[in-house]
Amino acid sequence: MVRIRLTRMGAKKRPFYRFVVADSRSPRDGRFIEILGHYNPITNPMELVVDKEKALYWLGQGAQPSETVKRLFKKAGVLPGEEAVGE
Amino acid sequence: MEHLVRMGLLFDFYGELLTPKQQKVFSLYFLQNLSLGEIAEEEETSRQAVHDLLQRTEKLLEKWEGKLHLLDQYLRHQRALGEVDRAMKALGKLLPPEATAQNAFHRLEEKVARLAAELDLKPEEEEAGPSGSEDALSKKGSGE
Repeated sequence: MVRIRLTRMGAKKRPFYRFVVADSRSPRDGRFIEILGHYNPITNPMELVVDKEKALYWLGQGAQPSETVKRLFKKAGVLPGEEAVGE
Repeated sequence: MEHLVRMGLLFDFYGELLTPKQQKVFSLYFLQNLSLGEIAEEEETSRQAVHDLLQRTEKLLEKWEGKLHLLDQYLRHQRALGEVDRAMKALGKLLPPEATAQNAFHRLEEKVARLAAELDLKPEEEEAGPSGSEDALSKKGSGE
């Protein structure tokens, strides 16, 4: 199964995340198929960037987003659902 | 703050106090964002066991934070430093060009930067691009 995850990249105490498309058969090695965007929760306002076209393509292919990804995709306007941007 | 982000930050502060097993499962779930099912398969255990372990670990981290407040303090310092940084930038634009004023200002800037480094802080940036993430990526690659 193909999944969309939010993987953490930043150094300690400097969280920075990437949205990645990855195969769930090789979860540990960190390999991914494609980067869909990034999320920086520490900036004010937070930074949430998603390539909508690519994200919709992978969702259309049946890629399963994690719960957090689903929520952030709604905030980014990739998935339907009115969630205000910001906390 | 997203739950996943908070858990990741708590892990930065208190992760080393967890057992290796707790560290592994917690980071698979909250840093690599694997599903319970994927972790269960990796660890050759049940989904329920992974879920229970995560719940216990979360509780532990929150308990330590409740006593030590390291994350809370860090976030407060970071916000305060962000305010100082913005105020300094505004002040910098108003300074007279005379060398005495400019030098005094630079000394102040250096002191603030030293304090920030000592507190392991970086001012809350208005627009942090993914620039910092690139070396984080290479660090991660060599780290594991």
